[in-house]
Amino acid sequence: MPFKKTPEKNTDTERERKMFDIDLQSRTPIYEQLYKRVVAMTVRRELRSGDKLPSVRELAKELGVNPNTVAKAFQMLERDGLINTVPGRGSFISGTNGAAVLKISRENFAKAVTNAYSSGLSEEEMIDEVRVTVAALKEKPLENTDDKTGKNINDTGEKGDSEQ
Amino acid sequence: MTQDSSIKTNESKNNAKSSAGKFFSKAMLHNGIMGFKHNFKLAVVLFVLHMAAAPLTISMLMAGILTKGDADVDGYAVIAVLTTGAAALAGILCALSSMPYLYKKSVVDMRLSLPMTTLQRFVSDFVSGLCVYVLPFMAASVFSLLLTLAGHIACDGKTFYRSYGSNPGWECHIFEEAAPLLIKGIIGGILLMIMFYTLTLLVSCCCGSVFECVCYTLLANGLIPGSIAMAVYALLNDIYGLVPESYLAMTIPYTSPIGGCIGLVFALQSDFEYAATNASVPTSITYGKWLLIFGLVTVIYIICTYLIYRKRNAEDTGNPIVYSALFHVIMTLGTACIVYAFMVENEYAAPMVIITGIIYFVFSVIRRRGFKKFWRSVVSYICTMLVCLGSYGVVVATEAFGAGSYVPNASAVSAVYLDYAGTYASSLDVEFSGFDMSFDNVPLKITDRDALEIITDVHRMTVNRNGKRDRTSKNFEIMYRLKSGRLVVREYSLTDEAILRLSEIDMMRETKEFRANMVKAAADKLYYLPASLDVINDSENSVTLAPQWRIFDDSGSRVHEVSSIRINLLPSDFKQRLGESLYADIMDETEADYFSDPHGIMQLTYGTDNGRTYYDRRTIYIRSYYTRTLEYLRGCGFKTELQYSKTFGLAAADHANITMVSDMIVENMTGKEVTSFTPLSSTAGSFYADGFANSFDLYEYTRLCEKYGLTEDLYTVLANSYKRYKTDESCYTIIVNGNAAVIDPRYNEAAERLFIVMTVQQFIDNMTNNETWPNYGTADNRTSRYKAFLNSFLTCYGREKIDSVAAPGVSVYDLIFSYANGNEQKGIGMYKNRDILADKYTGDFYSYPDIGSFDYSYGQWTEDNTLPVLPQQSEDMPLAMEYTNSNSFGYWQ
Amino acid sequence: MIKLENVTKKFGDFSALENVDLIIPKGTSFGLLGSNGAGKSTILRLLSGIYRQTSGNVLIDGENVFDNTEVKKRVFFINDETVQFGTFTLKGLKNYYKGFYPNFSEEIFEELRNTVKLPEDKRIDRFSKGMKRQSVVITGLASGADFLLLDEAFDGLDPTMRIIVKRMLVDAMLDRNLTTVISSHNLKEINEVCDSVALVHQGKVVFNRDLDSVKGNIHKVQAAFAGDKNYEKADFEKYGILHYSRSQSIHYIIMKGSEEEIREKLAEKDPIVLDLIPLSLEEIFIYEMEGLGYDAGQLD
Repeated sequence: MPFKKTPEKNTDTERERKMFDIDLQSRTPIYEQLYKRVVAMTVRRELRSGDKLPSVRELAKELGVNPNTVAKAFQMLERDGLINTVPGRGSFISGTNGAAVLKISRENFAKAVTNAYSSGLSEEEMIDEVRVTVAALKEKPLENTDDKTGKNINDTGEKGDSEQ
Repeated sequence: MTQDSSIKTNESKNNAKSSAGKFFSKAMLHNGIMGFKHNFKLAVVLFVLHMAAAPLTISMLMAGILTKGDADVDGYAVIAVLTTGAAALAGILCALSSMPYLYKKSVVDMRLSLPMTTLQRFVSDFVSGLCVYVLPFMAASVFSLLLTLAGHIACDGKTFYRSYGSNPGWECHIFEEAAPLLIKGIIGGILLMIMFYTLTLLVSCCCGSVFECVCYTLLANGLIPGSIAMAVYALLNDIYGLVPESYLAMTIPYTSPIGGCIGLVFALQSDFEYAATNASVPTSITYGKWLLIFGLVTVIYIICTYLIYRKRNAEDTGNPIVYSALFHVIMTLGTACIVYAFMVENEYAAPMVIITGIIYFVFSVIRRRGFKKFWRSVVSYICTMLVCLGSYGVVVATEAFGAGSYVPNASAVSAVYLDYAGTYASSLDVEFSGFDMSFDNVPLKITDRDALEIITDVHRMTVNRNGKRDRTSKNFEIMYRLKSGRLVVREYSLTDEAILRLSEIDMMRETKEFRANMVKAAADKLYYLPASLDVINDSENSVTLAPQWRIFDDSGSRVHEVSSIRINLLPSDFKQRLGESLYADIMDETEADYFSDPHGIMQLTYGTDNGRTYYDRRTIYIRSYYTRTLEYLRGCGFKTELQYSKTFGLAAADHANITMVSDMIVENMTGKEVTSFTPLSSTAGSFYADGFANSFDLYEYTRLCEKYGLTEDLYTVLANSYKRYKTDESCYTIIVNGNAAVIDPRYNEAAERLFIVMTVQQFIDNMTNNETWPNYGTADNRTSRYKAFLNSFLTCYGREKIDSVAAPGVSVYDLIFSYANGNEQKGIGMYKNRDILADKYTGDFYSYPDIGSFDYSYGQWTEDNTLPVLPQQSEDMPLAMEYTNSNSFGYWQ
Repeated sequence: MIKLENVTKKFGDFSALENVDLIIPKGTSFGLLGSNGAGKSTILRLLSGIYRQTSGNVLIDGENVFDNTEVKKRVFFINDETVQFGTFTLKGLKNYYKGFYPNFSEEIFEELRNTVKLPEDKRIDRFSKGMKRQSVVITGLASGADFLLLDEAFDGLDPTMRIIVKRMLVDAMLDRNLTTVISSHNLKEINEVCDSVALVHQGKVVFNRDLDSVKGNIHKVQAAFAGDKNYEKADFEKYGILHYSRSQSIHYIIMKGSEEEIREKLAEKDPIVLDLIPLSLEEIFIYEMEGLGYDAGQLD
């Protein structure tokens, strides 16, 4: 098979570099870092449903890592429902990413609770904090609402943490 | 999915097939071309070197001939040799640069990771380097051939005149004669180059560094022929009968580049020589045979090189010697050479061990790049020495595995080649003289069963004698071609008994045919008709028929009759018809004829007949029983009647150098009896029997006619002497101008008288000519030798007889004694005017051989040693006749 | 797929490789790690068909490599020699290799050459060391080979070239399933680029792991237990630990396994504090070696 070089796509490279800031020397495997970054960005709404991720090729090149590693991360993301890969077109942030994201959010929340508890916050104080934050969010919703539904995209209807 | 997998299996099948079966690939070709391009500059340099050789020389030759009429290109020939030599040596460069991964670690990865099989890589690297080496030569050769063609068109067939000196014109045939040699030489040269290149690679595959590659290549080139030569000479030196040269001829020309050069030169030479006669000498190297065998050996070397190459691993590069076998082989050959050299010279063992030891250890240290494991070198040195000495011992002990005493069965022999034309024809001077017969001088070939029986019998007799080879006597070479194809070459000095037995083949058909063919070939070379007749000089270009005994007076004029015809007036087929007649006459020769009176010999000569200086004197002897030839000559206008009379014969004898040998004396002195005269036996050939100390030098010449009143005896003796004679009786030998003949024993009395006179006179002559013979030794030496001889002389003949042949009033005996006791007095002798005689001695004299040390126990003098009374000398003795060149006279030529 | 089956390579009496088994899947990047003289280059040379193995099979896609022209056409060895090209110019080098590698791409060669601004008509032996290295790499990348063997290849490459090379490798891995085998004694390099890594030590493959699994599967545990539970090293041995040390009440244990597995295992000991920290690759290797009984100092 003759070697063919794919032309570089003109994506928003600046943004990507900042976004996918991988520490190559970290003790965490690269694919794990990538996975977590995508999740984090999705959670923080830096990546929204339907956003196209850079291709495995571009990402590998940009980061200077093994494409198999990137592919592995993508596979995990796909497995956990965070992205959808369309052959020939690329990988997109999935619209129905709720379950995976929620899971991670729950985990993150649990971690945060653990940390707070270890540092001395009581249960009541923690619940108070939750209430205050949610109230503020309701007042001033996050920017990325879905225009059609008027709902917050992340709102799946679950009461989750607030009922804890 | 299934489609994919089936495609895959097909692919792998094809791959398997192609990698197994495919030999040639594009990668190979590419590799070869890349290799050639890489060394292109070297190829250009080689081309220039080759152009400066033959093409330059040929051009200069042409230029020289066309401008100056001169064909001297010596300077250019020297340049040609040098540049060709340099270009030839460059083979090492070409070979090494074609496979650098053998000795350069840095290119191993690059070259060995390329997609080629070992065989493909070998072939393409081998061929590409070879092209760099050989193509320039081939290109230059094209130029050589074209220039030769141009030279042929411009010069051949034309007459040129040298621009300097007064030399006559010459006709040019150089280019057409050189052309076939040139072509053969070019093909041979290419083959030599391939062999040299291959040998370099063969050695380099066993080495891993440049120094070793170059060094051992040079050593191998020298040691292959060198050790063969040393081994053959040393091992066969002492084995009686074996001919080292025959073994050398079978091996050296075919096994190495240097040997091949020698072989090619010999092959071209023998082709050139034997082209005319189409003869074949079994041990000679013919071009076709050389090409074939040398080519075969080269192919074997190439195969060996590949086999070693295949075994080579990438990791071996960098080790000085990869396969220690090479080191051991080279070292053993080198050590053997030195050991054998010492054996031949019989030097002491100590220097040999020291020299070989030093060389061996130096090479070992270089190989190991240091002194580690030095003890291993010691051990292998000891083994090497044992091998060399052991092989020597084995070969000598078994007499080269029985070769020394091997005599083939006559029934197993298909042909025998002898350097022999009949017992009485020690050289072919019996039939003709003055010819250069080297081109036609092939040996006698015998296939007749009876003759073979005789020859093997002679061989057997000689082998059982078990003597050492006597280098000074004439050696007799026998070459057998067995029915199995094997060639057996031996060389012996034959005893008289053996020679007698051998002489039984003289009158057999094949021997006669051989002689007849030789004479016929001589006839064909009697003269050459030059292209333009105006260069013919009258006296030089005639054929003259004359009696063999030629007399000239003091002014140089002929006093005998001859008939002479200019060659352009002879029939055009004269030489051919002459040859045919001679052939037929010799074939009709009977044994009686063979031993008959030689009086009737005439000679047919081409060339000047002025008795002084000669050039191109070619002579064929016509015997009285050559009826056809004489008839044909008569028909051509020659006068064939002989003039021979007693006066004539004596007058001729007067101008001859005559000496005599007595069997009886010889017998007495050494105890060895000689009963027949044969030119092959040591006695007749050298007039000594077994050594020099006990004989007397009889090489002085004497004018017998000046002796007093024995002309009748002289005539009787001359008239009854035979060049070919068989007898069991003791007899005398008379030597006229260096040619010996046996005196019929019935005339021993006359011979005896002559002999005594001659011997005494020679004693006196020797004593009075001290100054002319400084080599004669000290007075003491002379005295003792004379004493020894005289003792025998006296014992043999007795005092009375000796005195009886002296002149009246002269006591020969007393004279001899006075000289023998050291009283050298000039002017004393049996003749008057001795000094005049002394002054007239001109021409060639023989010098005394080295006689070695004298055995003082030989004789005792008991007689009285007083001075004798000297006779009166008168003034009117005849002047001596002038002595001229020995070839001008001769009764028996 | 590259497969070494029980391969031994001896140089005389010295065993450079002993009973080596390795499988390198296609399209992956495999790292060979080890100290100098461990045998890494020997493996690469066996795969290039330069060396012939003493015993065992050296297979690429099921076929033995040595003397196999069809296989060798698909393999390129980027070695660490600087003297080999001698009087070649880059142009000459291109033409040279073009004739041997059927998939050689002149475009890539030229593009790479221009990118690093190497002259095409200057003799390579007059280049600087870095330029010489670049020449080899360029040739290898342009060769169109399916298997690239890099011997300490990234040494001597400047960062620009390094990025370019990595990008080319990415494309090749994705487009035509390029397999690379990289030998190095630089962990950082292997960490960045390789999928799997094998540690070669004294001619033997000490371990052979997927890098990610290596990292994910070994953790540094910092644990504290209730004051009365005075645990010793022996108490933890059954979990398969690589290293143990203790500082007053904190136990430091290097343990294999994923986070969940470790937490599960140690749960029975009822820890008060249980922190799991991933290790750097270097630390992993050092502890692995220790666990296998090798002196970690031998790594360099």
